[in-house]
Amino acid sequence: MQEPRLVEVRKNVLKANDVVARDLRERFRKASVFVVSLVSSPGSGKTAFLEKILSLLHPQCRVAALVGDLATENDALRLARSQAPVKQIVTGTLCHLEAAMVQNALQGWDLNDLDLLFIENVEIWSVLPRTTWAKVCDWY
Amino acid sequence: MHELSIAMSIVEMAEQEAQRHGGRVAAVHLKLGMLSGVVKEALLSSYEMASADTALAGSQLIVEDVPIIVYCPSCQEQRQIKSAQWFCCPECATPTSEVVQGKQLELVALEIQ
Repeated sequence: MQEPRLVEVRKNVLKANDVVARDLRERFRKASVFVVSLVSSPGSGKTAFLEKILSLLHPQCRVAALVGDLATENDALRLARSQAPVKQIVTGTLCHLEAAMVQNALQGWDLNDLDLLFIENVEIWSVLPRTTWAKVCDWY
Repeated sequence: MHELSIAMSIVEMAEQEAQRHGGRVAAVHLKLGMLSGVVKEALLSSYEMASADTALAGSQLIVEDVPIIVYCPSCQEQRQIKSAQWFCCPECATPTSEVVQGKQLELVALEIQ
């Protein structure tokens, strides 16, 4: 048998997602939308936090939220009570948001109408803009 | 559980590369960052399923873990952190969100026989 040889490849497996994510960040930057991606353990209060902060901020600030969930629209219904624009991303069997899902969910929204966008993730990764609480608080 | 679809993309990419170089793939070398959002064990078992009945059947997936390195604005140094839950400088405890390394999921090399 031939000696194995090592062939260097150096390819990013998640490139497709990275490209969409970069494009999204650029769109947010151009429209001056500050985006916060919320990631934390199940049951730790992401939706409760959003419920509270959306009611506090809307309508003085132009704030909106995207919420990811495996199956239901319950979270979006909870958040819609704040009257702020809210969209649910139903991921099916997937436990995280792909950048393309965020891209699709943004269809129909004009980013220029927004100052602040919360993305409630199901799990870590995908768009992951910098989560800077201090900045959000200052801003408010 | 996105590891199966990721394993399938790895198999597809490796198949394309192997075709270009000719020969049978014995092993696939991968760099996996601790912030890539991919669970190594799940990826390894998915790889077996994803590679079955392909040109890569029976090949080995060799994963190199890549630790998280952040930039500490106080020390002005790059620091390795141990937990993805605690983004603070291990020396001075300053919180930081500047990730220097640890997000990658990279197909590095193929061992071809």
